[in-house]
Amino acid sequence: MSRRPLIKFFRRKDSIDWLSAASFIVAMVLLSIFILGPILIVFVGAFKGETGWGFENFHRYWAVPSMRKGLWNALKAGAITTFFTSLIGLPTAYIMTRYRFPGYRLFKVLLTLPLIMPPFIGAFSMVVMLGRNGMVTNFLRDLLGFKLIEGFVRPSLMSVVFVQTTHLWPLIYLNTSASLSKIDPSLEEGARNLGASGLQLFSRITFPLALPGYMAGAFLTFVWSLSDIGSPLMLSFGNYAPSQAFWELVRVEGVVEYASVICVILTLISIASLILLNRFVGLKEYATVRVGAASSTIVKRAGRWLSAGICTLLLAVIVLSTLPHVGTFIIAFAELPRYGSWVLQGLNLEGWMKVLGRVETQHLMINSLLYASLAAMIDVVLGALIGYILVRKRFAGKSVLDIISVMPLAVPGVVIALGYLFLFSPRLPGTTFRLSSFWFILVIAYSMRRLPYSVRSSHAVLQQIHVSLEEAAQNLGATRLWTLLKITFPLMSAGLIAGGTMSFITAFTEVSTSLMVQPLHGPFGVHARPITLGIYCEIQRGAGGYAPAGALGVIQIVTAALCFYLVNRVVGRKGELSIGVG
Amino acid sequence: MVDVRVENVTKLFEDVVAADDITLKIEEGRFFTLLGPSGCGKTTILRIIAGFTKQDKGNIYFGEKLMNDVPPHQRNTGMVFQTYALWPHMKIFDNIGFGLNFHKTLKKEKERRVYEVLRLTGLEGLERRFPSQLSGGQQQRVALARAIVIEPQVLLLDEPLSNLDAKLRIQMRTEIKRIQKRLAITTIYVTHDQEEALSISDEIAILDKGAVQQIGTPREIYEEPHNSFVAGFIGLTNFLRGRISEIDETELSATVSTIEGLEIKAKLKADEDWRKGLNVIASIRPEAIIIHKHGSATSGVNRIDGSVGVAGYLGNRVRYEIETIWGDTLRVDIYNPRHQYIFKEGENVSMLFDSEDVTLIKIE
Repeated sequence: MSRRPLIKFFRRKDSIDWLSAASFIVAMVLLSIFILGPILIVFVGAFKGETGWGFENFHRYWAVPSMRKGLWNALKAGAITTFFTSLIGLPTAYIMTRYRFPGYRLFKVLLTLPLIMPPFIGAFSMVVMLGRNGMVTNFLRDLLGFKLIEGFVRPSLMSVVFVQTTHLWPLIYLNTSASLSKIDPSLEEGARNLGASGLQLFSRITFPLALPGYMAGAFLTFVWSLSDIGSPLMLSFGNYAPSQAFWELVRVEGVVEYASVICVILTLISIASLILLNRFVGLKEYATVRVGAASSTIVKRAGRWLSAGICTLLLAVIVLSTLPHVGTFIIAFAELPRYGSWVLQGLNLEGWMKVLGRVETQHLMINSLLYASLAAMIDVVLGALIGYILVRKRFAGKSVLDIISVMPLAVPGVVIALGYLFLFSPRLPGTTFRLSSFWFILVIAYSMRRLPYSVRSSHAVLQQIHVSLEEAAQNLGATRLWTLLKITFPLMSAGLIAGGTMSFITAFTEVSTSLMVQPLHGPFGVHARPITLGIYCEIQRGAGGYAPAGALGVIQIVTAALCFYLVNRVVGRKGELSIGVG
Repeated sequence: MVDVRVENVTKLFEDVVAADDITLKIEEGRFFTLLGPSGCGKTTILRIIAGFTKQDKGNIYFGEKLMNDVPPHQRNTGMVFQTYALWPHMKIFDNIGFGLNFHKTLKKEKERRVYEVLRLTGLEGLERRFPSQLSGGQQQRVALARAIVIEPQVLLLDEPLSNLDAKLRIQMRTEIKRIQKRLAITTIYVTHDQEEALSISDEIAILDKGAVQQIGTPREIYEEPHNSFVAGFIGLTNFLRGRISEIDETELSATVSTIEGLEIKAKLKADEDWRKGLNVIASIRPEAIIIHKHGSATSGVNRIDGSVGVAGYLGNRVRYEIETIWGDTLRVDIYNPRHQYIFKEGENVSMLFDSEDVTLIKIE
């Protein structure tokens, strides 16, 4: 492009300066390479057959019955999981936004806990707890004579759904509550005044108003389920599209094209459902990190019996969905029961000794801390920049930036992972190492997958910062850059911290790219692995690796919980932190 | 201190004309007000002067210096925002002192300047607080202090009092005027409140639909409105449409025959060109009219008969809405009603007014 049209492009609408123009170009280039690029290359891989471009790969893929079954299963699991998570998430959201009862604050913390499920080991511990020889299964049989035939969690689709549901329902809860607490009380009072009450009030007024949040949560749940590799693998449930993609990639005789085809189909499904959803809610609602104004909705103090009922209900939900956490702690710290029994055989710290005693497992923690921190930093800087341009500047091409920056939310993680693997497969000149085997590619992948959160959070915070706060600074003699550094960014800090922490936590427990973009074959070999890959490798070793995997899982849980706690301490005063995680 | 000139400034937002070929000259040290209904373009002009909005056409001068391409932060204007725009993460001292960081000569004596302004605005002792810990009136003072501490060439105020309650608003406008006089700083003030504008300004520009309707002192604006918009916007008035049927050169007065068949005598402004047959609007302020019981008035000149529609008691005055026989409603204010008879609704009355209180406005 020559110089002139470029200037015209930016001058078309007012108030675009060169600082913003430069940031826009930088952001667009980065996002094109690291978000669009990987997605496109997966599509290329899927449509490029041996004889040329076309649907050849798709035909071959479709001819394999297990593949068809896997796709169908993933779709079914997505739908059923979304249904069950709604069943738990919606009432919880309503209760938590409308009622106050003893232990409210504690519940509020506990209810987000299921989201911090350590990958692999979380699903695996469900087998240990509820499997055919699970502790809870044996306990129920011995004490109550109650028999869970062949265990509740077994290699079946419903078990995959069960594990996903216990993990993902807070997505619905958090996003719906965000919407619910934003509803102007007078809207409901108005309906009440006109005679509406009870279920009618909820179904005609309250729920429709909360729909954007609920839809966002439901969509995130659906996409997450569509790209779940961990649960099917751990439950040994083979025919599940995303894990099939992973399998075809790592299997010796695997057909890599199948992986591409699966990814393309999954992407199309998720984009189709997004378009369907978009008729109800804007893209922007999909990730809500809300910091600021406390709820102004009608809040009722629950009476004694209602409180008791609510607490019982919530406790049941929490107990069920923290089983993976409890299981992880048990695997990490205890000698598991003998076959057919439920009694722990005592303390066992062997897993910890192995994890802390070996250099390569020590590195796991340091690596993941480093990778996740770097990714979070990239997200904060890039998110603040993009958020700023989107909110404060008006120019053509803005909507393109907007769409690309939220794309990772709508595209299953497994797609991005595969894309990174393809895009960075060329070898580094002068070495035998592929680009993708360097750990910083993993960092970039982490940061891009979680970028929507920081973009959205800085977007939301910026909209609450009145422009005149920036204009006042310029009026008094501050340059644009100075204004940005002294006024805008400090005012955005709460949102930036929230978004950054979210990036950190999710990068720390990320599965798809950690598993597929393997720095294992890079120059640092086994010493560059992220913690998630470490857990997977440990479990693959069989019985001897369970305890170390558990220990690593505990480290993930504790780190993530600590981050949640700290962020709430820092920004909590100014409001609450509620997050949709994808 | 400088004078400010706005020359032929035009600004369009999409298709809406926010400023239509506006020319203003604000003398050095004067308190100049841009007054008009919402959407008239007054804030746009202020923002063009501050440099936040760029005009499509026209020039802005501070003194002899053309400001068109000077970015906002180099214009040396002090602006008070409608929302105050106090930075919530900075203490009052840092809010006020912020601008001094960019003025080399002032940087050295930052502390002294800040305390001086704190004293001037009556904010002593609050400098260690955060904006959220202050009342609305105090926040307003901080916004003003922050703008004047840098000793700007021009002080810009964008509806600074609109977020305060009525009592405080009156108190603060006196305060702003006092400080402005003391610093003798060229000031441009934007408001939609006509009483505020009349009480505070040296000069007022009335704007409507992006165009200047009239520029003048408060007295000129109120007493000699140039067109019906100004007459109707500033204060309340009664309009009667008609045509000049006779001109008395010696008395310098005219007789207007209204559409309703009334004869109204009006004094003429000497310096204007009046002709027989000219279409005019006669504007009569409510407070210029007195009312009598029907039949008791002797004079036939400038008399309109009607019946009382509404008699609204307002304490210091009674606001009558009198229905004329041709179906119009005229408003009449009778001040200090304490010892007067208050007419009842439905009573027949005669309204009388002096020919000197009739303002004629030409219709183009």
